[in-house]
Amino acid sequence: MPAPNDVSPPRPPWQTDWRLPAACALLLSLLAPPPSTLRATSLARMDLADLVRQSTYVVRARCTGVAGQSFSGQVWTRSTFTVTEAWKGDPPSPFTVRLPGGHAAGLRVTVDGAPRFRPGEDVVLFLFARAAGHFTVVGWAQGTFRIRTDSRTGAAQATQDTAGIQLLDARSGSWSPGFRRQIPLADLRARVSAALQQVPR
Amino acid sequence: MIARPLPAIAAAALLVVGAANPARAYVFNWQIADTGDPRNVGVSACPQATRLDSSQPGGLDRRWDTTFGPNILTTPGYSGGPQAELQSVILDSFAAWTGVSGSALSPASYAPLATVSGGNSCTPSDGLNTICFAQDDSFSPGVLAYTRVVTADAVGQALGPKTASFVGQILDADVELNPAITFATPGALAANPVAYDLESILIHELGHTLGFAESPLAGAAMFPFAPAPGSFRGARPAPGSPDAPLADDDRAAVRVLYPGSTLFGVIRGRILPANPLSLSALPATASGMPVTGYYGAHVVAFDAATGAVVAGTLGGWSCGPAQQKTSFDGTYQIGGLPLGRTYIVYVEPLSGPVSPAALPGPLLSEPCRAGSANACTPPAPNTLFSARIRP
Repeated sequence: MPAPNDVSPPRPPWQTDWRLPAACALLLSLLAPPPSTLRATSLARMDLADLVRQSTYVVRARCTGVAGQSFSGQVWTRSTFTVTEAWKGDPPSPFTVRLPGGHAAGLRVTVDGAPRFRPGEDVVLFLFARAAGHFTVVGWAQGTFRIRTDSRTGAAQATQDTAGIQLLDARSGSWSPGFRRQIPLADLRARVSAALQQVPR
Repeated sequence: MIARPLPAIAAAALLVVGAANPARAYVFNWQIADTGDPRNVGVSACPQATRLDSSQPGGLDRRWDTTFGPNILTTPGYSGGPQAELQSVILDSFAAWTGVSGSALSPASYAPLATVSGGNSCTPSDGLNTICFAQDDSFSPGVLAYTRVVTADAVGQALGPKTASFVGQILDADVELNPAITFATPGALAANPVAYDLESILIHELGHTLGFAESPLAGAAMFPFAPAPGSFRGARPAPGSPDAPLADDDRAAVRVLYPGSTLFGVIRGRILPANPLSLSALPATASGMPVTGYYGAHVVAFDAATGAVVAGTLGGWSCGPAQQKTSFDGTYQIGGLPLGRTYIVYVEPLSGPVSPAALPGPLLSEPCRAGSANACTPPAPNTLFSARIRP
């Protein structure tokens, strides 16, 4: 049924003929190859159990500051967070996540695929402790969930940065329930808790 | 429960032939000049596509650091020398991009490949384009590779041997591959099904070094997700078709960013709501700059004769030389299209399998720059509409 505000004129025949094939071709173009593993900056595919297993801490945290830094000849972005909930381990608070790329020392360095944060942002992070005393995020975008509150229901929703593609399980060719673009925060918390029961802490 | 009706849209397309240097295709890495820098007097405040300065043949240094290199190659039984095979893969990966017809890129655009036998040459401040297997201080579990791209913020900015002649010029691009991950050269992949195809990874990462971000088209080398272990994307390069691993979308992007003398076509249009009042509630993106079109929509051009996807872009904004302000007016433009064909344009919201979160490039996050003459706040990508196409 057309939307009530749809005032478009009737489509010429060629468009009618092509709309469905075009839509199918587009979807096939998006789905056809096995998008099983990686993201732009190349990431290995990880399910929630992998993320939990590989992480030092799992936290819900709020970003309090972002700054560029030049260190060892490299440009980094340091994002500082305060922990609001600890889901795995006993993380320090505040803590700092260091990811490559950013703007410092007169250099603008772009790293596609590295998550970027904004002060005030509410997130769930799967943290990996580096030996140097700072943290990074497991699987970068895969270990990053942004929390937003549904304006209609008031419920908090968590959206994984790599959300879209990972809905498709390349091995089975079916939608994987383990990957959802957006899930209630409570569900994510429960899944992490369940995964923790399966892996050594 | 009755679902909320989705707003309909109309996409108006205009085919313009003969344009050699369109502003956009799948080239998402943009940069806005630091207009407060005195070196940028007279420089446009509109987003500038980042790219290498290809007017200096042989001036793009490239090196590779294999300090710990051999441990990333899985070549059992290979007797020809893994370093030589690795070098061949790197050259083939460069050649995939320089082999695109109708582009100014050529093998002469790059300096000879040089090997660095020790030390750390993957610093972004040396002005050398490097492929490194040795660094591990920036990786986390699950991260296989990434590319650091340093771009000029001001005309005249110098880095190593390079001096920027335009804002957005790439001054250094280093590919980092995780030394803890097993990669395999094409000849070794079949025997190592759990290894990642080095050539597919390198072609994608070298696309970043040229200034490309991600393509939502799954067959493209710049698609955000690389092949599963033991597999590779597209076809392997061959002597007569060095660009075989690329898709038409990748080729269109090369022609747009590094145009040659061959003329290609451009499709332009706007993505508009059937009811313009549906956008009236959105806050202005800057003073006097209301949102007048849909932002962040996926626009794809099909070949009308074959139905094949040719190229696409993410639409939603424009920036003219007169105003030099990013206008979120629904504008899209697909360039680098071969002439003499008929195309059909299809518009798709980023509602799924590729979501806005999967494309965190500057198009979605940085078509504005705080503190510059083009400061603004982009609207959220509109993912709730159904498409209707108007000629």
